[in-house]
Amino acid sequence: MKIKTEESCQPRLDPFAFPSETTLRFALLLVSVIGASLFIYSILYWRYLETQGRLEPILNLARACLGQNGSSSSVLKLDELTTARAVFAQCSEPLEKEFRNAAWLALGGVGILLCLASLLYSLFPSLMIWREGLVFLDKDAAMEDVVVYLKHLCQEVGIRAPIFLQKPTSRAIGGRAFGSLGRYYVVLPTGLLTLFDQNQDTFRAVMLHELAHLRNKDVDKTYFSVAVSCAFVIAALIPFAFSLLSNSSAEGFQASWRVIALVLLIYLTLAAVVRSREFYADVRASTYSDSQALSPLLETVLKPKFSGWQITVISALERLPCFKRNHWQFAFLLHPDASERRHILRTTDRLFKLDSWAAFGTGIAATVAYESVTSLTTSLLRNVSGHTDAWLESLGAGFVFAPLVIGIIGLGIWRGTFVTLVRNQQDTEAGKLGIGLGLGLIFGQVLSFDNITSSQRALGLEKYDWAMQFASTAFNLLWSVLLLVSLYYFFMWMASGASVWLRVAIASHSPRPFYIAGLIVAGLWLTLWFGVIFLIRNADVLLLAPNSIEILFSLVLLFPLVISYITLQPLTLIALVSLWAFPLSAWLWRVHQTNSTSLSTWGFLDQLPDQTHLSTQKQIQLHPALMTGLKGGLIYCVLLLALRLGLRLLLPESVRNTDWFKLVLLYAVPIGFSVLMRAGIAMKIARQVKDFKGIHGLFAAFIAGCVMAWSVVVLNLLFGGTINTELVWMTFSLSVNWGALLSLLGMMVMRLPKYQMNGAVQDCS
Amino acid sequence: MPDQVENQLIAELSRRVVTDVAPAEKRAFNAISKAYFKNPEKTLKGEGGDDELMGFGLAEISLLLTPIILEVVKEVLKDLLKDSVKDSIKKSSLTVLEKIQTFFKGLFGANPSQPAQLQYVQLLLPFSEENPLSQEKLRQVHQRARESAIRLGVDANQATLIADSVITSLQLPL
Repeated sequence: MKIKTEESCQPRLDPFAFPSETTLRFALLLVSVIGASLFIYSILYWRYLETQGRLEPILNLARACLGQNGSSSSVLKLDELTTARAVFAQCSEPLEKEFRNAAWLALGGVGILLCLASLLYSLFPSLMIWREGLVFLDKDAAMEDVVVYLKHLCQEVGIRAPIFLQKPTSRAIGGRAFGSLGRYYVVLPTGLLTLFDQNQDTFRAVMLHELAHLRNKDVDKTYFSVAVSCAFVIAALIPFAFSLLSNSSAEGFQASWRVIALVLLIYLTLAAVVRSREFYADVRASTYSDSQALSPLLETVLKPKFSGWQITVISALERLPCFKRNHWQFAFLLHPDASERRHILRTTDRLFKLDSWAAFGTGIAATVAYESVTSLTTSLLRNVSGHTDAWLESLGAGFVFAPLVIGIIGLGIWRGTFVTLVRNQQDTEAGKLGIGLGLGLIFGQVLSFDNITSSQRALGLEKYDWAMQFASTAFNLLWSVLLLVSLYYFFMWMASGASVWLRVAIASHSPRPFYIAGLIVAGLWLTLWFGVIFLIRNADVLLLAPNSIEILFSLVLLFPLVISYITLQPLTLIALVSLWAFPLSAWLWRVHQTNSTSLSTWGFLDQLPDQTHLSTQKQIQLHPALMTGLKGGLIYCVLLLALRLGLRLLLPESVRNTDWFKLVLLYAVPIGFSVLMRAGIAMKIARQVKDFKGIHGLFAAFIAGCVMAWSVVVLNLLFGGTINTELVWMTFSLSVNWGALLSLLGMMVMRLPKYQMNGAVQDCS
Repeated sequence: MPDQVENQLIAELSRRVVTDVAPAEKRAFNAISKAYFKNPEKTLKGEGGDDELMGFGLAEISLLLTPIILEVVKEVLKDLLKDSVKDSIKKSSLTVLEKIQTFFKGLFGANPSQPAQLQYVQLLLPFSEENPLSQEKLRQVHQRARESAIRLGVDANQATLIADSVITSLQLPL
C-alpha cells in the first residue's frame, strides 16, 4: 500500500528506523514499576520497624546525640562545617543504617516482584487458552484452507508461522497476537473467521495487522508489561493496602496519596505501551501489498473500548474545569483513537515525537525512588572503595538515573529531530522535553519516600522554625530553576547534535551507530550534570540549622567559588570540549560533500522519487568560527604584549616584583579579560553563522581560549617568569573553562543555541 | 453416551441449517458446536470485542447464528421427542420398551452388529424415515423454531429462514 500524506507528495517516514515508542514506553513502565516498588517496600520496612517498636529508640538516640553535639555553623568556615557534618553523620548513622537496610530489602522485594512478573508472563499463554476456551485452528479439518492461507501470509510478512487459535464464542472481528518466550499465538475470533469467505480483503488486513505485531516484536514487551503490572499489584500494592489497615495515621495518608499517584503513572504508562504498539502494527501492515482495506476498516468498524471503571474515571475528570475531553480519554484508553490511527497511516511523523508528558513521567519514575537508590549506591561504594564523599554519592545516583533518562528521552529527541530535519520544520520539542523532565524530577521528589522519611525529617529537624522553612523553600526554588534551565538547554544541545549527525547518517545505511554514539556522549554529560545537581540538592541539609537564612546567602555567595573549583577539574574541560566537539566532528564525514545529500532508503517506508535530496547548503561553518577564534586570540596576544610592555615601561621594578602585582595585573586581569573576550567572540560568531549558532560560538571561544592561554604562558616566560605544569594547567583550565562557561551563559541569554532546521526533502515531483 | 448421541444429532441437523442460513459460519461450526455443548449459556451469550482489550480494537459482528441455531434445533428436538415418546407409548408401550432394551443390548455389546448410536437415533427419531411428520406437526415445529429464534435475538425474517431450514433438515434422511 502506498499511502502518502494528504498535504503533499512527501513519502512516509519509517518509524522502524529507530527504537519504537513502544520500546521507550516499555522502558518507562519498568522504571515506574521498579521506582514505585522501591518506594512501597521502603515504606513497609519503616512500618515494620515502627510496629516492632524499634524505630523510636533509634530516633531518640539520634536526637539526643544531636542535642548534645549540635551547633550552628557557618558555611564560610570550612572547619566548622566539616565538624558539623561529621557530627550529623555520626548521630544519624544508626538511622542511616536502617535506611540502607530498607533499601536492600526494597531491592530484594523488586527482585521477587520481577520473578513473579516473569512467572506470570510465561504462564499467560496457557492461562489465556484455558480461560477463554481457545481451540487450535489446524485441528479442525474445515479450517484447512484458512490455515494454508495464513501460513502464506506469514511468509509474506517474513515471520515464522505462529500457532493459530480460534475463539468460538467471540463475535469480534479483530484478532489478537499473544505469547511468550518465542512461542506465539494468534487468536481468530469466530466473527473474524466469517470474513474469510465474505470479505477476504478485510480478513487479510486484520491478519496482516496481527502478524505485524509479531514482526514488530512487541508481543513480549506488551505481555511482560501486563505481567509486571499484575505482579506490582500482587506483590506491592496488596501488602501496602494491608499495612494501611493497621495504620490510619497522617503518615498513612501521606504514603497513600503518593502510592495512588504512582499507580496512576503505571496505569497510564501501561495504556501508552498497549496503544503505541497498535500504531506500529497498523503502519507495518500498511507496507504489504493488498492491505488497502486497513484504512476503511479503521474508519468503519473501529470502536472505542472502555471498561466500567474507565468510564467512571473519565466521567469524574470531565467534571473538572480544566478537563480536555479528548486528551484524557486518549490517555486512559487501551486502544488508540480511530481517527489518530487513520492519520498515522497517512503520515507517520507523530510516531517520532515523544510528548512532554512522557518526559514528565520519566522524571517522576526516576526520582521517586531517589532515597533508595542513593542508599544502595552509597552502600555499594562503601563496600567497593571503603569510603565515600558527597560528590561520589551524588555521582553514583547520577550514574543510575542518567542512562534511564537518556535511554528514554534522548532517543525520543533523536527520533523527533529526524522528522524536523527531513520535513524542514522548526524543532521546539527538545526544550519542552527538558522542561517536562525537570518538572517530573521535581514532582518525583515531592512524591518520594525521601520526602516522607528522610533522616533529617525523621529527626524532626525540618520543623525547626519559619526561617528554616523559608530558607528551605528558597533553596528548593533556586535549585528547581537551575534544574529546569539546565535541562532545557541540555536537550536543545542534544537536538543540535542529533541534527548534525543525522545529516551524515541519512546518507549511510543505518542511523544506529550514530544515535548510539550520540546517546553515550549525552549520557556521560548528563551523569556528570546529575551528579552536580544532586550534590547541590543534598546541600539542603546545611539549612537545617538555626541560622539557616544566613547559610542560604552564604551558599549563594559560595557558588562562584564552587564553580572555580569545578573549572579546575580535567573532567570539566573534557565535558565542555565535548559540547562542541561531538556535533562538529560530523564535519569530518561531510568534507567531500557538496550541497546536497542523497537520502538513504532507511528513513522511508515508501519508495523515494529519484531526485529526492536533503538540502545541506546551510551546513557546519567551521572556517569562520576557526578564523574568528584565531583572530580573537591573536588580538588578545597583541593587547597582552602591549600591556606587559606598558607596565614594564611605566612601573618601577619594585612595584612589579610585588606579589599582588604579579597576581592581579599579570595573572587575574589578563585571564579575566580573556574570559570576557571569549564570551564576546562566541556571541559574535553565533550571530555570524546561520546554523548551530551556539555550537559554533563555543568552538570559536575554545580556539580563542587556547591561543589566549598560550599567550599568557609564553609572554610570562618572555618577561622573565617561570613555568611549571601546575601553572600551565591552572592558566589553561581557568582561561578555557571559565571562558567556555561564560560563553555558554551568553548563548543561553541570547536564547542560543537556537538552531534552525535547514534540511528539507525537496519537491519530489 | 445418550447425551453424546443426542448432541451429535443436534449438531448434524444444525449443520444443515447453518449451511443453508449462515454459510459464512460453516467453517467455524465444529468449534462453536463443541463450545455450545460444553457451555450452552456462555456460547449463546457470546462475547463481543469488549474483552479484546489487547486486540485490534475492532467492533464485532452483530450476531453469531450458529449457537442460536443449535439452541433452536435442541428445543425443537426436545419437543418432538417428548411428543413421539408419548405417541409411541400410546400405540404400544412395548415397542418403546423393546427399543430401549435393544439399545441397551447394543450398548453393552449384546448385539454388536447394530451400532448403539444408530439404535439410539432410531429410538429418538421414529418419525424420520418410515414415519414422516404430519403437516400439522411440521407447522408446530416451524412455529416453535421461529419463536425460539426470535426469542434468542434474531429478526423476524431471519427467524423464518431458520425455521424453514429446520423443517427441511428434519425431513432429509440422516
